[in-house]
Amino acid sequence: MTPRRQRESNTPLQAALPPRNVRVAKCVIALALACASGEILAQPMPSNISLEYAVKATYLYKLAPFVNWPPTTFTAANVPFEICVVGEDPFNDFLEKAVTGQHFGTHPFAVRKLDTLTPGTDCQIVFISHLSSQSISDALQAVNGEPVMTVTDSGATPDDGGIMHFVIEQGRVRFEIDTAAAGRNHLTISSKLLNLAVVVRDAG
Amino acid sequence: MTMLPEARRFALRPVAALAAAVLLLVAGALAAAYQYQSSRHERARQLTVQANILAASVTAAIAFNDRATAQEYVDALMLDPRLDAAAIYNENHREVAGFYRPGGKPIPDFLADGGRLPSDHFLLTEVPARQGTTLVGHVYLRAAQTPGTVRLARFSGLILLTIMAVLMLSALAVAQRALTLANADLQQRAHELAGANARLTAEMERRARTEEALRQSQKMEAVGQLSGGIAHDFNNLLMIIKSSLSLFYKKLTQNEPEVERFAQTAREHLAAGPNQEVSGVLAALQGFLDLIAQSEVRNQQIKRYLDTAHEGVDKAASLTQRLLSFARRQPLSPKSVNMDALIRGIQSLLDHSVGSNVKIDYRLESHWPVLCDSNQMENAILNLVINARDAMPMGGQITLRTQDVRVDEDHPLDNLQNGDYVHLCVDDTGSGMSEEVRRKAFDPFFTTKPVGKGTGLGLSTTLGYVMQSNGHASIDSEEGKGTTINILMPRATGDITAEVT
Repeated sequence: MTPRRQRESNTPLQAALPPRNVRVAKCVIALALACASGEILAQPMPSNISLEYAVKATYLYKLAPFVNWPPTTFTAANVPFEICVVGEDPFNDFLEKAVTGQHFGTHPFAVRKLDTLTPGTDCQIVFISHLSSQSISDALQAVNGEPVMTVTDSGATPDDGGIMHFVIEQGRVRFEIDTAAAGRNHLTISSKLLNLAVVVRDAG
Repeated sequence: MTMLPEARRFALRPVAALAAAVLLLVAGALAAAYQYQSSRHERARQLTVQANILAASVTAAIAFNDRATAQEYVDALMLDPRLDAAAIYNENHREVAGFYRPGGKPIPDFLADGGRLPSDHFLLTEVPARQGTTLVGHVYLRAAQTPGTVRLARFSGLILLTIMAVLMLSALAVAQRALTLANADLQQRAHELAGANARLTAEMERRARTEEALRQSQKMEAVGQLSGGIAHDFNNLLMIIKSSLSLFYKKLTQNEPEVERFAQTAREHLAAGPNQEVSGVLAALQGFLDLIAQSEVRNQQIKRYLDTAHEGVDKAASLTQRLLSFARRQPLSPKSVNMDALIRGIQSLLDHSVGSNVKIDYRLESHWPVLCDSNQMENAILNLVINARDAMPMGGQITLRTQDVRVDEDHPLDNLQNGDYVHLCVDDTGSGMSEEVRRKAFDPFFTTKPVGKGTGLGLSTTLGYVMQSNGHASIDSEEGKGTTINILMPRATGDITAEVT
């Protein structure tokens, strides 16, 4: 009995999947955003936001379970899980609506908007798209060593990338992960997430 | 064929064997059902484990909507031919990856819109895909129907074992049945053999009795012939002796009157005149006369001796007569006789013979005549009555009975030929006799009376006479209760020249 693929894929089937950083990167998924849109469209979506940012917003809060947060992250069981958007907000309230009712464990998601990133900011995930009052590297430096998952948008140069850095590849929103930076911030990234990353940097 | 209890006990065994076979089949079916159930359960568990593995692997792919990666995981899992279909849905019930085999159907998201998994479908499983505590989606797995051949192979051992056991039981039952039949047959044969043996034994006993009787009769025959022959010649000799004695006696008495007359004359002469011359002669004559007188005395003595000899000869003749009678050689002059009349004729003699303390009850009810020698018949009856009297020294009653008897197929009597008989029966209330005595009662010279009292020839001569007259005699006796002598004389046929009527 020869298994028939439900969907066409030219990737040869291999029993042992990881490590496959590079291979995943090579995967050609033509549908990309179109498919993503199908999912996103199920939610009320403002017309003034692109599909790309809708996907990115979703990724931001879906990221949370794949990060091993240090035990000191939360002071209480019901304190919110803060997602901070620093600088310009490309989501235009979409993120707030998306996380409404969503929880990470016992912690409800909350979205906070910041102009600048300073040390001691009580954020779990920081998304930096475009900063006007602060350079990206400064901002990242500000939370260096703190248990903060930094995510940089695809517009920034990879050198200025946070722990996670969005890239657009073949029309799809993907990401690179810097495990070294994660290590500095006392975070461990799930290998499952690493499997999906286009590039995983473990030094520098 | 009659089933003996033993055989019937064995006959139950095939039923028991059948019941055992049925039980075995049921047990086999139960074991198969249990195996089926447990294998199904095991399969469901395996399916859940596989689904859990898949769910754990694809959480990131679901969360980040990486369909390619999710599909790769699914495809890898689907290398297992026992899986029929798989589907991954995200938490919004959108399909992330899926797979189904040709001819199959994709798995829908049963949990969408508050739906539930079909409870009756054991081949389908669903596990939630969680990253930590966060639910990211659902994973469905459907197991392929196990092919019939595989299932058959799985149960073949059990089926084979059950069939073998049932076959063995059947063979056992059949063998048992055959054995039972053979056993019943054998018992039947043993039964028949026992019957045949019993018949043989009875036959042998009868034969022994017959031989004994034959020997006895041959012995009697020989004794009869011997005694008859001797008696016959002896009788002739006795007749010679008797007639000689008679002549002798006659001669002895014949001489006497002449001598007497001569002596008388002489005496007259002597008395008439005494004559001297003659007186001498007369004296001599007187002497002679005395001599004659003496001779007469001697003659008287001889006569006495002759009488004694005569008596002895008569007794010897009587004895030989009875011997001849026993030997059935006595000359008979049979005539047609009415038994009742004959008995009435000697009634006073019989009453006189038995004495005062024995009473004879006459019940004479016969009508048919019999052909016999009436003198001998009278002798025989007298003989029997005297025997009966002797059996009752303290007195009692003798019953003399006669009646007409017809012997035919419907009323057989001993070994008599069919025909009409007159039955004479002498019954006493005496001491009776033992079986041993009864058997020997007709033998010659057998007697229970003290020595010198009986000759032992009474009953034997009666039997001889009866047999010679084509009749039949038998004895019924019980010790202490009396004896019955039965005599059956054949009815006289033809013209009845009744001598006594």
